[in-house]
Amino acid sequence: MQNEHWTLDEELLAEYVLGRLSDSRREACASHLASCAECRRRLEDEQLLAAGVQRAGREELKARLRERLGIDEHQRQGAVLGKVAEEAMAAPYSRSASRKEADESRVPVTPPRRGRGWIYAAATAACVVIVTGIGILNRWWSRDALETVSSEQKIAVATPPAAQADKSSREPSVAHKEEGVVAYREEGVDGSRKATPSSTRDQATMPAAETAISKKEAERYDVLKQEAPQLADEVATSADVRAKATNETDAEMRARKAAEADADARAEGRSRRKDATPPLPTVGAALAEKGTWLEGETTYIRMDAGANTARNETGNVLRAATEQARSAQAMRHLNATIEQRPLAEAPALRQQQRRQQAQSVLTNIQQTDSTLRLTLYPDSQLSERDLRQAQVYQVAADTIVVVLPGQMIRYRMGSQAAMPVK
Amino acid sequence: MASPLLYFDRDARLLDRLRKGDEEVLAEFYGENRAVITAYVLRNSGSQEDADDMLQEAVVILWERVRSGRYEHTAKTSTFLYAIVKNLWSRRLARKRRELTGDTDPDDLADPGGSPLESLMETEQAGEVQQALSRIGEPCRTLLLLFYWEERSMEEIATRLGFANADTAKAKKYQCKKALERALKEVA
Repeated sequence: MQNEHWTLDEELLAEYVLGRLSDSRREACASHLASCAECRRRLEDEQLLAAGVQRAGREELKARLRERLGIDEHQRQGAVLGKVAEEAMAAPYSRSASRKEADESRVPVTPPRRGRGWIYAAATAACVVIVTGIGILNRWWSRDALETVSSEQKIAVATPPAAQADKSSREPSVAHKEEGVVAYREEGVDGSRKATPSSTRDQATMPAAETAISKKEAERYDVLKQEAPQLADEVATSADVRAKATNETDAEMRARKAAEADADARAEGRSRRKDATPPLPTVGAALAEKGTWLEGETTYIRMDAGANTARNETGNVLRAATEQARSAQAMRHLNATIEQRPLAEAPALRQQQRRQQAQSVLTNIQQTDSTLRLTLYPDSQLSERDLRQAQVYQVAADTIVVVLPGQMIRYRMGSQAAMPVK
Repeated sequence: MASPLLYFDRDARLLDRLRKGDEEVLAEFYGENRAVITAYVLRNSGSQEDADDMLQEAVVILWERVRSGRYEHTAKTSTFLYAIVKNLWSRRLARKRRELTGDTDPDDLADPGGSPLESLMETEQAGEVQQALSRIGEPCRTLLLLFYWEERSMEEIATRLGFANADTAKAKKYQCKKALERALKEVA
């Protein structure tokens, strides 16, 4: 046995890999492997094959189990990949990229606390409610128009993809509702905000909702004053309360508010330039109605080099595609549907263009009211499983990224969006 | 072997159904153990999603052990599942800590425990085999799954897939393996 290339025997090879051989026979086979590189290669191939088939079987069984249990597979897988992308963005650069930065970004690991988690969670929630309440009331009293600056983006990033689908469906006109209070925001393609400062509007033309706010504010203030004197004192310093106290006339109030709004806008501009991430524009506004053809630049992620390497590489590629930020706040999850077609079905001219681009994926991108629709024409078809897991993020003003297991496809729309559709 | 007419042990009855391929039993095991497993994972820094993932993994491991004849019914299945989840979850927590501190661990790949992140980070080659398997069509796909995953004998495979005998199944298995290797080259 020792001198024979036993790996040529298919049955024996399979039995060895599946652990069905007796100890003595197994040892005899193993002793030959030490001196036969070709046999070791054949054995590795067989092991890989068996592992892949076993993994497929395991995944299929889990999928059937989830189906029986009524767990939404698509939603689950999407959430998983979204979590990977966001974890990768939140993680420090790989050590090879910047060891110092990685060290600074380390999160201290504390052992899990038993039994008291709910106390901390409840205390944190209470603090958030109180602080948010103060913030909202201050804002209501100081300005009669409410604006959400970039909160919509932050919400979109902080929530899991499944929850974001609903938010994305409201794009491009974003409305932020809270207990009957409506805030309006409009964004241009280049990210410029076009919201009309309400301080410049005549009070007579104010929407009824905003007029109703004043009554509601007064009621809230009274309640708050009774229930929490400290908070009420803080709110009482706001401009409108001061105005009431000094019997300011309507004209004086409007002039004062206009001046305050200008000052706020200037201060906000400075603050944004300094440390905030500028709002991302609505994706796809520049896309033609019939769809735009783009070449997606593919980057492969080494998934076989360990979890850390894969995560670091994912994070680095996403960061490289991101214009300003190095955190998940710069990303925005997009509501998108992805399908694939054989490359041969793409228009001839597009196929010709595609051949000139190495490592790219010809893609047609369309935008409906609430969804981006991506039709990929890859050289070799992606697995349905990978497609189901795909997540789409906007990472810069003109750039979106499709994150798939093992690879990312980046589309720059700015330069190519004007390409005519054949 | 004929099944006993009467089971005094409910677990034994369920396990026997599982041996016969009744996957509905997995859902029963899942439902019966979910509360306990969820409590354990939540108490140890996990979420409901983590708990569900862990329990699914554990149930699949139970299935593999039972189907391959490697499961010894010496304790309650709930004890077995709890022990598996405990083991998987402690490994995942340890790996999470290593990831957060940026330390690398050569055991990462050897560790079969799969978190949502880890399950995606499994070897790319195994993923490619999976992808290739979906391309080769039937009956090859089922045949290879029966052979490599369910570890069925050629006689059983022949009966299940309607081949004349074990030799025919063996010859077909050889063809299917070659087809898979070709598909793998295309995928890679």
